[in-house]
Amino acid sequence: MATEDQKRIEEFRGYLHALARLQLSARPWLAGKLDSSDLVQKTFVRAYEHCEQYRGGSDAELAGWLRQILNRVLANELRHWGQARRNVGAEQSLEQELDASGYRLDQMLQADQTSVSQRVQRGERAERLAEAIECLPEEQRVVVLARHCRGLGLQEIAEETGRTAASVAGLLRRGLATLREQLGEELS
Amino acid sequence: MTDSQTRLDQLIAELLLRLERGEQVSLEDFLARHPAEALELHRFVQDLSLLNGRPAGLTDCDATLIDPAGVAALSVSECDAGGGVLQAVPATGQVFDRYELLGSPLGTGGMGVVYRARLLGTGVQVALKQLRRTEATEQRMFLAEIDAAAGLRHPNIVPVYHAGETDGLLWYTMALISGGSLTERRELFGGPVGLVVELMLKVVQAVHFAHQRRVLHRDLKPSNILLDEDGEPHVADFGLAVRLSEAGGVATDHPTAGSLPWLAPEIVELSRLPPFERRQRSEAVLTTAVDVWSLGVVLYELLTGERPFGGTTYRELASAILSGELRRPRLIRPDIPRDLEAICLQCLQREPGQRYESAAALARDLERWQRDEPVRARRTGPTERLLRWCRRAPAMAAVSTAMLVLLMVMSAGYVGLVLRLRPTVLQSMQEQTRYLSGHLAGLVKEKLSTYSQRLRERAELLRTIPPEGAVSAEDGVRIQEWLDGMVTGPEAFQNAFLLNSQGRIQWSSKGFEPPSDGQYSERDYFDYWKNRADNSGEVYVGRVYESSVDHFGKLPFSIRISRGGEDFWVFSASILTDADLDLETGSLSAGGNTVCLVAEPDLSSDPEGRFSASDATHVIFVHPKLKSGERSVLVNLPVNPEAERDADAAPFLPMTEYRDPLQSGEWVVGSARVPGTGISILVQRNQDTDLLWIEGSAVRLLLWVLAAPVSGVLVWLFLRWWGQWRRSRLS
Repeated sequence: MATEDQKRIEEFRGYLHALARLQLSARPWLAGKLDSSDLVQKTFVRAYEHCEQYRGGSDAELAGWLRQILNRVLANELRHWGQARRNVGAEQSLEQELDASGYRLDQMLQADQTSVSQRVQRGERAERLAEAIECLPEEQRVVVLARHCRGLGLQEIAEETGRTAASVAGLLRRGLATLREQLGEELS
Repeated sequence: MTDSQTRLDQLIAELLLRLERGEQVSLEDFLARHPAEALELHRFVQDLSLLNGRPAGLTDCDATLIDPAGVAALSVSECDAGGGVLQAVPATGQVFDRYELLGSPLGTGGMGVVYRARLLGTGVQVALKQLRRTEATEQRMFLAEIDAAAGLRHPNIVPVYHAGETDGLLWYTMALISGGSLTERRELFGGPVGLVVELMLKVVQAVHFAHQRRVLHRDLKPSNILLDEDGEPHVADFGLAVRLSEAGGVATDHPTAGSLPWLAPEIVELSRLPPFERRQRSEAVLTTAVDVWSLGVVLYELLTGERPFGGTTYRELASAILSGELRRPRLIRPDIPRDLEAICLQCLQREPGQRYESAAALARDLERWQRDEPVRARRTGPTERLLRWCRRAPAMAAVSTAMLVLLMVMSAGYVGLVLRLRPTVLQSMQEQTRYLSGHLAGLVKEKLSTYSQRLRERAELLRTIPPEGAVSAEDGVRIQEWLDGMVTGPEAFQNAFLLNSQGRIQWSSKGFEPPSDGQYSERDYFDYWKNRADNSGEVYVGRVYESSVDHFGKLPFSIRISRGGEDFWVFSASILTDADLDLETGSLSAGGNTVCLVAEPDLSSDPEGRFSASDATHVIFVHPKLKSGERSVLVNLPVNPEAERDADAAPFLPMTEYRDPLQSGEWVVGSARVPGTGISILVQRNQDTDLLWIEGSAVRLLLWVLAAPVSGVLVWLFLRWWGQWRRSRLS
């Protein structure tokens, strides 16, 4: 792998870190068992190992590729800790789920920015978003993460948390409003 | 958590569940169905989109979205916005500074709630509006509302009394208008037109008052027009009001706020732009024309009872405002006056520049309509303006019409009279000339008879010459002397000569030298005597001939002198036709008459063929225009057949339009024959002398009748031009 490629991958560290944090935050039962830095480190090791798979191209493609690796690492860890979602049996579907949520975050963070400074900024923004989500009140955070990181539907979240759909909607609404107030300018 | 919030969350849940089921949901329609929650719903969707992209299946998020902050401004006040703090509902008896709340809210408006309140220690009741939010933006807007409304003291604007802050919440008090809003007075919608105009006029004037103080209301609609017990309208709710800058534009965070049904198209268009562009463009868009539009919508509603633009969703309504067909009010209610319709439609011009340039202009047009004057919104034809003026000033119109009719009848009568008078006048002129010519004929006869007398006397001398044999030399000398004596003295002839029975001249007076072989037996003066006996007294006045010797026109006198047996002489003498016979025709002509003498020409003496070449019947030999020495003039006159039998009858048919060959004009002619001669007197009287003044006066009268309205129109055009010129100088 060329040094430039390694350098490029390195620029996605912040982004991957935030992603990992969010995925872990979405699964509070893993707290203390998994560390986001560990996940990112494992992802990078794998990326270097499989850099021949990387076909180059745009930042978005690179980000997607890295995210796939992170998701695979995370899926492995989840299976290892027997904490994969009860109603999801197949490894394939777990990875798909992770992938979908990560893709949404990608959109939010505008992964196709090209300059170095923009990529660094993206990492920083991702970090701040993760931080802001973690600062939300417990109930709101659970709902926001369940929807936006785990990609659960309103009905599923309601079942999981034992609330009515309207009450989940309320939590989601207030959680998002708070995020907007804290990150409003960066996101818009 | 309040009920409204629960309702909001239920709606959000419904929206999300539907989207997760894979349904396509139009955000625009969804918001339109829940206007009360539209603001918060929209904000939620924005938040959702920020974090996660636009949810799949959700359509119409951006393209035609109306700023919900404005659209639903009235109904969202009780919702707890993102970071907003919902305050406990104030209870009856709660005190705000010097005011005590009475009862439940009267209503919610803008961002606040309105209560009935009482000034402590008095019976004075006021309306107290309290802002129920604590965000800085909302507080700023509320203060702006107080600022805008407090500066406006107008009988038709709800006055603001006090403002204050209690428990961190801003409030202000204003007059309590107890008659409810226009919305609740359904009977006014499609109600009596006069009443509607009276009401709208006050509202429009109030809005203009605000505009003059640089306040743009932006939310004019029936629910913001309150009515007091007397039915007086009061413009309320300056919650969206903004201040116009010096340049007329506005800087505001919510350029597209307002209530959609009353929202001007330029604002709807603005709302379709990205937010940063909206603010850029708002300065140009937010002008008083926006309020004029809203007033037009309210006027339309009041006139017809219907809204001008319809639609069940936001998108439909917005596109109707932008480009939908506007039904003319008269299609809904045919009894709406045309002008009022025009006023209404002028407010609803989509191009702001084509609306009334100000609320004042609208007010003026409404006033014009009230006074039944032509309105600016509709150019009317002159006929209709005249009718209107007649309606406005019936007395004036009646008098003018009566005068005009009188003038026309009088002039028509006069013209009729003149036309009837004309033949009578001509008839009397005819008689006059006939009489005069008869009289003159007598004079001429007398004059001619003096010549005849002279001829007769000489003839007596000639008869003393013995008839037998040749005339002796002695006698010849005497004859020559006698003839010479004829051409001198008073009543002198121009020539005198003696012809033998073959028509050859035997002797002639001196100075007259006919050719020696001259043969004159065909001459009228000779021919007459060929077969007549010499009855010794008769002198024949012959036809006028043209002398073959000196080419003068001459009037011959002749007499036959028997010489025994078949032999005879004809003694003839002539006078020149240009001798005026001392008739003094000039003085006779002074009274507008022309007197002339005509005679039949002697066709046997026509050396140049003048007579035979023309169709002339007579020759004029005495005429005031005919100078001495000038040739006689030929003329064709209608011969009166009566004259053949009756010597006293006029020789020519009466003429009223005779064209004199020697002078212009049309003449009435009377004629008379000089008895015993072929000479006739013509007395001509110019038609104009008697007809001109009556016909002329009729023509003048007609011209005046025409000139009156024409000059009226000219004066009117001038006044109009003058008015425009003055206005253009003032502006």
